[in-house]
Amino acid sequence: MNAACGYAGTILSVDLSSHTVEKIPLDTDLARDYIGGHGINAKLLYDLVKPGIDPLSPENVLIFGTGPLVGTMAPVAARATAMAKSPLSGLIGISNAGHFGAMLKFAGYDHLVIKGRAERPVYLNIDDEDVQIVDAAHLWGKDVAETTDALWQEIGDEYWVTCIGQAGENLVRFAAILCNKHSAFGRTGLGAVMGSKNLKAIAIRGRKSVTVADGRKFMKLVDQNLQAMLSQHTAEIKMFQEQGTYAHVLQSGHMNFIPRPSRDTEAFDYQKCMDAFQRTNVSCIACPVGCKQWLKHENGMEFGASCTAGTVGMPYGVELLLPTWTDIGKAADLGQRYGVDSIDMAGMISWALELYENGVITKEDTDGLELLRGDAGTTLELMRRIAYREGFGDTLAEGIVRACQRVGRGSEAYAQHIKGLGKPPRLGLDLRAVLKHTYQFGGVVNPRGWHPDCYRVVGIPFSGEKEGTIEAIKDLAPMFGIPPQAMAAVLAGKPYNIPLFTKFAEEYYVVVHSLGLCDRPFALMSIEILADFYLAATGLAITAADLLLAGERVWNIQKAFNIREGASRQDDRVPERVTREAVEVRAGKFPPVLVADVNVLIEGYYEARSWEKETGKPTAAKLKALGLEAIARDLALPS
Amino acid sequence: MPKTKKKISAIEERCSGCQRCALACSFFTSPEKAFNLSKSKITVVPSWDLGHFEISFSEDCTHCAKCVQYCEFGALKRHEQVSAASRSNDHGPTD
Repeated sequence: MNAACGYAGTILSVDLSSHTVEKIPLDTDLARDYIGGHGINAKLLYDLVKPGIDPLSPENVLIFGTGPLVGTMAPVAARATAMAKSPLSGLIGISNAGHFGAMLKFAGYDHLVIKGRAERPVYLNIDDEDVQIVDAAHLWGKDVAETTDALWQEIGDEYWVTCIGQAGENLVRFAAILCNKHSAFGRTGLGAVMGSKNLKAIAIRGRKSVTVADGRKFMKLVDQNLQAMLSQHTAEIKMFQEQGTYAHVLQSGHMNFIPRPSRDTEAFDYQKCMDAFQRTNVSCIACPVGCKQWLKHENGMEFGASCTAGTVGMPYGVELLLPTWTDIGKAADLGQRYGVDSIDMAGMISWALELYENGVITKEDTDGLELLRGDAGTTLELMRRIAYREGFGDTLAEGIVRACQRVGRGSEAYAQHIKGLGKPPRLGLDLRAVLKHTYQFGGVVNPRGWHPDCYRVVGIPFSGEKEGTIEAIKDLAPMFGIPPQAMAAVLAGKPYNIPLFTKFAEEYYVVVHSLGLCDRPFALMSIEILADFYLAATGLAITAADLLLAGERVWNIQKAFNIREGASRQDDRVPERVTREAVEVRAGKFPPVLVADVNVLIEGYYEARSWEKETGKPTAAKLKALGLEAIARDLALPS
Repeated sequence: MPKTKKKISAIEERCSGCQRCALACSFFTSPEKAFNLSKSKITVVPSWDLGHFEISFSEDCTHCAKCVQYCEFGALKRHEQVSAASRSNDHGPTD
């Protein structure tokens, strides 16, 4: 283009095999139909990745995207989305981070596409127009903190540095990509994809402008919505500033819906974390809250906690039951240094511990290591062996599906995953207790696997909390842009029409993520306001309905990616384990999930999406209505 | 570059590095009305790993205080009047 403001107007494509750099104008229709960030990424990924490829081969494509509001002062416009075919699920891999997008945008690019594989370790130096593929032999083997420091030292600390640690280098299938030591593209193993390309780091320095079409109107929107956010969510924001994302789990009653811990841990008391660590709040760009934290311990340990819940307390405290915040911090620090998704790291260790406790595996399997839950030594040593793929660590580094196959002996019975992604402890919620809630049910049908992408819906009471459900749905409906005529259907059911509401929520969140906005509960703006922002920023006339239609288009293209990879109805399911065992949580005892109940929800969801009930495939008619006829042909759908 | 500029002073320990000050500065002071950190007259250099953000002002800052208006962390202050008290409370104005 550059047809529209807001966008930088260019896709930067780097082929590491041929050592070539291409700058492709961003097409206006692509922008309009897929919005940006998450949405355009999904379209590019579908077009660029051939079905059936090995996710860790040069044929995989790693894509980073920003969004038309990133680089502006729109509140919380800092989000970048990364995608590739996931080495964990073999399906669409999606992850997000805060300290990446704005600098890519200031360098003049909306998206960064990385293809091929470098012969030797390299890093990418993006300095406005100047894009260099640089030897990184001296960085290979270093952890995330060392790599970032080395590059700041070498090329200047005005660069934003995004890199992998040893886990990504060693192709740990749940390796993460970390930005400026803080934000993580955590889930779905994209760090391993980066490692498979021999790409150690991406350093970006941008000095260009991000323009908006109507500056006066844009700043008016900024002022109005910033004040609304700060005044309407004062207490919540204060909690996030004090506790990071731990505020979320403490506030929403999550702790009442996790299995009772078998031993004591300080993880349930965040005050003790605040006592143990000195904290500095760190914001993503344009965020007036700053829920990320730099944690410093008196013993010298210090690290960036992008998500105090997901990166620190929930995985290593609530899941692994490390007894003190000091131990929890040690594990979190190590995880950030190796560059791993802390959720799957803790999940894999937890699975191994349970196998050991139940005699499925013994010291013979673990290279002589005794596995003790709640023991920092066990946790840290297993983390090291996983990051370096040593001995039994090599098995755990494969992720839950492959590790179950490798161990055999009925180990699958102890696993909890959906599409290969482990149970997110950040949820803190057990499926048996809260399946009937969009927050959890969304994870069952999410194309990227088990992760809660509909964050704000935690405002809806969980199972067992009967009061306020209808009010909460009614409260969220205008924000999500649910048409008034659909409300009767949304409110029908017990406790509400979860499948239909999930569909609306998913599409709204795609819009949020595609514009480049954070999805913390206090930060969300209504779809009408988002449409106003989009128009003021880009000058492209688009309605709220158009944005939501783009959201639906993106959701369908993600599903189509998975169907093309061979995914079926069988991939949208709850872990077998939760259909077999009851669970006791603080809120009470919950029986196993009934498969029939799940099937009713899933079939209702397919119906809400106009997907085939038996296969979960989008119908040709639905794809045609979304302008995706070519995809219907790809999938050989009957017309 | 000075830590303070005329009537604006910085309290760095309150800064979280959100750069809203710099984004606002570039938008309101550039003729193109665009967001550009490199054209801002206030610079926030993040030392991510030190939990510290260094704030400085360029010589051509006009102390319009747009940066103060958009700082939600109380890290920037505009001094209407130079006083001994304000000097002792933070870095204090330079002129």
